[in-house]
Amino acid sequence: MNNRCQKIQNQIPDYILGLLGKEQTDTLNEHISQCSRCKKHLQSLENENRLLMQLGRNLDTGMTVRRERAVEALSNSTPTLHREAVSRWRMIMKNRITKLAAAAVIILAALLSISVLDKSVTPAYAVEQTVDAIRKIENVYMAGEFYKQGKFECWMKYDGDPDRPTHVWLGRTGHNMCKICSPEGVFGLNQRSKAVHFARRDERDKNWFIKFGSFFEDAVRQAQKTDSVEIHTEKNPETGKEHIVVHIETTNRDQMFLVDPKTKLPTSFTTLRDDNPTEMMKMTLAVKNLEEIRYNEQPPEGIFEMPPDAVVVESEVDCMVDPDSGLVADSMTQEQACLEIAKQTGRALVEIDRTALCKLDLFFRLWPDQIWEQVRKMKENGQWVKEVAILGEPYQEGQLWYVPMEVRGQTGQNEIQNAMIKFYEMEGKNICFIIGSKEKGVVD
Amino acid sequence: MKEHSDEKLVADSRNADKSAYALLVKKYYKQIFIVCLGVVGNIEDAEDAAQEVILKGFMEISKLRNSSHFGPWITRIARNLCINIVRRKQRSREIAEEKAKQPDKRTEQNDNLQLAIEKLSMEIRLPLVMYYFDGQSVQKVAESLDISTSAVYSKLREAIKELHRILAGQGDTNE
Repeated sequence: MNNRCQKIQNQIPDYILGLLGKEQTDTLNEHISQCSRCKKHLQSLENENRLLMQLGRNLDTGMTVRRERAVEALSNSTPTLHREAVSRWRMIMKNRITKLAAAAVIILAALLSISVLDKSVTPAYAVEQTVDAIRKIENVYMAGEFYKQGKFECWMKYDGDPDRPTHVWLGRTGHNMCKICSPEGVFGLNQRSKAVHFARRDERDKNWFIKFGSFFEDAVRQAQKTDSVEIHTEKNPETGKEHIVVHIETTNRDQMFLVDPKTKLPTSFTTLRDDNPTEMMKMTLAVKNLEEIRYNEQPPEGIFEMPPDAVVVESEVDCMVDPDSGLVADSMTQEQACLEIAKQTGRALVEIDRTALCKLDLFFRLWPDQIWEQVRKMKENGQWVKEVAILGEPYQEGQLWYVPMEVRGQTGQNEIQNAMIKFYEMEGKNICFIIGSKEKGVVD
Repeated sequence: MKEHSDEKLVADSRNADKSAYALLVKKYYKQIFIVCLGVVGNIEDAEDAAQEVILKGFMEISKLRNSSHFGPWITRIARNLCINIVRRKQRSREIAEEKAKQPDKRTEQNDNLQLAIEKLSMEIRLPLVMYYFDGQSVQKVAESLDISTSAVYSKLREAIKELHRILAGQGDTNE
């Protein structure tokens, strides 16, 4: 190995940790593209990095059971026990619940780390039973997480075809906004301000939300063709309830449905491992988890209807604005308010103050948790925004105001943008928001 | 479920209220376990050690001066207790004997990786485990271990290199 290769290989751990600046990364990439030995070394370290992360996730899965075991052992302990090391195995053999918990963790550990290629199905259950049961549902409630948009809740109502809901209510936890699809049309509703924005096109026939009727079947059938589907029954050590576990393992991800043995309907869907989440984030509403799925319950009264006091607005953005956020501009001129919101947003951007950014600038409300995590790591590595400078006076064009700003990065990259600000009157207050920029347009 | 403050739970635990202490355990178990894993090196021993830490914490909670600092306090207990366990084991050569006796439950995919992690020195294993398995930021690892962020990066760098060296020695690498 020559000195050049030695130097590059020494830098690879820093590359893995995201510590290299742009110039060093470019140099490394250039060398890697020409040197198969260093390329192989990089691939090895990247693979080990991936395995470490995967092992971390596997450990997480068993953590609840370990924790319960610890609590159980604590409740069985007496104050004199501290004098000697307590054997975990002696503790767990003490009662039935901990025995079950121990069994469950072993099953789970086996599921997570062994590639199960056996496509056999336990005799008491076949996936067709679930496929049939789903076809008969009248409505469903789900609480879960999208890859891109984060946590959500959803109600869907069917008239014979669970792939084509007649009514859908989709909301994001902690947000006033929800999307409703009903015979009245498709509209976004701000539950707090009652602002309603109708979609320009009728999306009821489009794939704008998961086809619940095929969701389970497609996932299982797809995996059965090339990958592994493993089915078994186990008891939840926390609730004592039995459920059927349908575990799907593909090259990129591990997913698991829990199915109710009585109704044969899925009660949850969990992504246990995903090696390439960015691929899923490219899709509009890719489902990562469904923590809770309930069937045939009466949806809350009027959930699919437009409120009687709704205000229909022209712009989708106007519907996204919450009355309890933004900058209250009551005691200021519009120019002063523009400067203030630009300053506050700039400061929050440098500090990565998520709450403040989501309150003042609609763009940041679209960021999922992963992006926030990523930018925090960038900040730690000295690759984030160093300062945000205001370059000139605010100016008005039509209904909108603009503030010329420059975002200066720690690695020397600067970007000039004219922040686009809009004023609203809500609940008796004057409020302003950054709704986009002149260069990049309005957030949607 | 109603959320209790650490202060209240610590106060109740001091009065030998095990259910209050159990709530603290539930909240901090992962942190405790990760520190134990970082020091002792393998999952089975880490779970036993975490159990020991939890009982020790209950016995000694009256010594905790600032009741809002339960998290850092219990993780410090975990670190010290595990260092003692490792020293004790090294002295009595228990590690080698136990390994010969016990069937290894680890599964093939992570087997070599877990063994390699176990072989790392404690000084570099602990930051690695906290960073990768507890998802802690470098800043947080630095605060927990009372070292600078550059020292954390340096240990992580060393751990990544050493891990690769061990795995390469086991033939578990593409190279």
